[in-house]
Amino acid sequence: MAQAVSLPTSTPIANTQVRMADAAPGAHTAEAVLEACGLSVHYGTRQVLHEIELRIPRGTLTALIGPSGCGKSTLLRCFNRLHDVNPGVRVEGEIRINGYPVSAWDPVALRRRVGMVFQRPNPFPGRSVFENIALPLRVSGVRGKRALAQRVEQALQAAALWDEVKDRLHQPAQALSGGQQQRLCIARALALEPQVLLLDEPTSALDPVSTQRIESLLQELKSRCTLILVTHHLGQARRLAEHTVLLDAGRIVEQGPTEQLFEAPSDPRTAAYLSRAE
Amino acid sequence: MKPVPKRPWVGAASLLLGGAATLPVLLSLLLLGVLAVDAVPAVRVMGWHLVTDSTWDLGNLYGATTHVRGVPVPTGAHYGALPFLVGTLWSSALAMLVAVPVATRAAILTAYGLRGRWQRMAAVLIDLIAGLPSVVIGLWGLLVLVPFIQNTAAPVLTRLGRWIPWLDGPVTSGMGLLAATLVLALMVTPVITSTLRELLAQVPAEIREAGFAAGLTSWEVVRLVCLPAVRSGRVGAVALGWGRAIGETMAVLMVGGNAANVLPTTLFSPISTVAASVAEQLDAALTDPTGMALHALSALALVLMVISVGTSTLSRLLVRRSAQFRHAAQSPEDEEVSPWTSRASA
Amino acid sequence: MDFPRLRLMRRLRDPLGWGISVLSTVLVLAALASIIGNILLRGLASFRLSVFWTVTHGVAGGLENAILGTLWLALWSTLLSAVPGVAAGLYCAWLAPPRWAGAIRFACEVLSGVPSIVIGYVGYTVLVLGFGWGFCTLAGAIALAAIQLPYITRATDAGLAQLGTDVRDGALAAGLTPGQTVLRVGLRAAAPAVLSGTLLAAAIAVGETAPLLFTAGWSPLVPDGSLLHHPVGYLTYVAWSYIEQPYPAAHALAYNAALLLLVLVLVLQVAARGLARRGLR
Repeated sequence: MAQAVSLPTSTPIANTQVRMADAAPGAHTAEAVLEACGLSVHYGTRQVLHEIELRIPRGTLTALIGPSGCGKSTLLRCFNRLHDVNPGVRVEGEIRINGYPVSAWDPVALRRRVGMVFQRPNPFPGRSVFENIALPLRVSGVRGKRALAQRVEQALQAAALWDEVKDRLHQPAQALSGGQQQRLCIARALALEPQVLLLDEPTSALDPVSTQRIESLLQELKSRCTLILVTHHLGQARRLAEHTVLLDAGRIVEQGPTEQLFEAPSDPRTAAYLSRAE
Repeated sequence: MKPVPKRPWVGAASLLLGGAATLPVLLSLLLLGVLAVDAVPAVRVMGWHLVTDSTWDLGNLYGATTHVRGVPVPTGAHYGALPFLVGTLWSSALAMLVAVPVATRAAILTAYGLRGRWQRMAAVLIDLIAGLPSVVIGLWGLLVLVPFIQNTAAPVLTRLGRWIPWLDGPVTSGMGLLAATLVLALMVTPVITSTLRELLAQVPAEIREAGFAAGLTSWEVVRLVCLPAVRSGRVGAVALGWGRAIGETMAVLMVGGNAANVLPTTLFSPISTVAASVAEQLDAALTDPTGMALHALSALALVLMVISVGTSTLSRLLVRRSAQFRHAAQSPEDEEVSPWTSRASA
Repeated sequence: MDFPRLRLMRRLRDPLGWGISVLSTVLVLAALASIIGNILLRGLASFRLSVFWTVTHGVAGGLENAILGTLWLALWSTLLSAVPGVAAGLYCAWLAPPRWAGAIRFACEVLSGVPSIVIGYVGYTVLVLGFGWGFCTLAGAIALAAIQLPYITRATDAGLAQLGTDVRDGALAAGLTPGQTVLRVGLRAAAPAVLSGTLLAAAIAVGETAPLLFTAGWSPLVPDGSLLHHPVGYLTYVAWSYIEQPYPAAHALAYNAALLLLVLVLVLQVAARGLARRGLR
């Protein structure tokens, strides 16, 4: 819905590197690919996110952690404007990707550059493995059988799924195992070569072996795009993330380099949460 | 809230689909509107007598017309729908009396008592009855039920009639209130059974297991735990079935005996219902040069429409409320419940 | 260790409760068996293959006109109801704002509860008289479609609701427009539900009588393909009105019509259920 343009600071968009005032010292030397300023979200009359200020550096994995219901998934869905779907949700404040406010984008075009992977694997039912990846490619303008086949293969390779499914590309996607389905969904997102990949607890519905597979896949993906991972699992955040953001009750409690946030939290609430969660 | 610069959500496809989606709403309103407007002259002529008088007479359709309160009406016409209303109420109420206990037990058995293949088979077969054309059930009523009532049931029941007035009286053909009741009962049983079966199947296993853990026998779990858990849904299922019984036309027309202008006095009295009378009278009503007979039928159809809207509303409210524990039981693992996921309870 | 024994009454209630439940179910199934058995017996006893190629004349003859008329009406009504019905179901499940979706679902429930004679009556006053179409195929098909529409909408909606909105969000996140999401992902996902719902709706159209009496009329002629101004025959009319005639030949036709109806409806229902089960796998 409305992305009311209300810049809390008068920072010029081009100058993103300089804005580090509210971040932990030394944390954000890299260029920010995604920024949120004064971001608030209301579900009807209930406010679920309050004045979020966030910077996601390029080419890293940022983990969003926090207790259940703190607004992690809601925040993630602001980044690809998935809330637009729902007239009951009101998003205020500004999100910029590569310095451009997302409100200036066509949401469909935006979602082709900002991919998303969901909590539960959600392949398109009634479509084959191949079609699951080819469909988004086709609607975003990839034409020609050979080009499609090539892009599908690349995506499956990138998601470390190619070897397992290359002989059954034309079987229903729902016949795959849960872990394979989730990697298929990652491949579907990667096929569009997104700059940012949003991951909403991608391993929470999976067994430990599949979880490990996907974790190592995420490690490799850092070189391709910027990853934002919502996770319940603190160990996962620690293993994978360069940066970690802790949310509680719709507000950011602390954000900074993962190591620092876990070892020497500057906010007592962070320490309390970490000790309770472990 | 500021205006949105681009509204991709209102694309052509969404508009088309949304337009189609208004069709059920428009159709419901159209039905109500047409009937309400069309019924006005009849209501003006008859007033309350429309529902309190027992004489339904289309009048002399080929003679002179008179004017009643400024409205032209065939001479001798009188539209008193009381026998139809009484026939509808009695046949549907008695049908529910027969169907509800049977349907409830059948739902319990198919939800909890049977497993696997047997469960599926029983459920499918019972649902099949709901799919049978009503003329086929009516035909069966004429072939099997009516002779059975006439030759076997009536002689026994009328003997009891010495003590129970409703069982006494002349058994002319076997067609009448009892036959209509039984046919209607058979037709609404699958409606109630399948609604209730689905509600019972939704009772979370943990709740039933809690009952067993508290030392209840399997029937006690059903009676004391499961049925109370879907109480309002049961009422809703019954309302749904009742609505169907009231609206059924062909089967009643075939086995009801087509009473005119008399109120039923015994189980064997011929009856007619509102729905059946609309079907039966329309042919004659077409020839009314003043059109008043059609207006009177509109009033009858309006009564049916209002009752059915009422029962649908009631059953929806109650079945939904009963189904809600399902949503409470499957609370989302994380995050605030978005309005999209809570939609089902709306 | 001694277990306290349940009191006699409590022990008896269990088999009693289940026993009555079994009896109730058997009673209902027996009624079904009696219906199917009797209709099959009577229908087959008087069945002649020639009913397929002779038309009814007077109270005798065949059923060619009625068979073709039933199929012709069901074809049109299913076409008329399936397209908007599926569209409405897709919209309701994935696109509509929650409150609006609730209103549409409620309207469907109301519509499916409206007695079919009422729909036939309004069809008569609006289409036959108001539009001056006379008794005709289109009036009958529209009346039937009004009855079928809520079934198809609900089947589609329920088929998608089973999937939840995860798949929809996945499609949106993969850069599909809302229209593409619904038509290229939703429709495919709901396909088994849509097909089985449409077949069930077709079975309803085949079996209805009341809405057709005053919209389609009745005709002893084979349908000529016209949609307006020409009445059309159908099987349920024969089963209903010919049994009231005092002639054995008329009764035989009524039984034959009921038999054909039963077979048609059962085939459609079984096919629909088969599809629905396949879709679940």
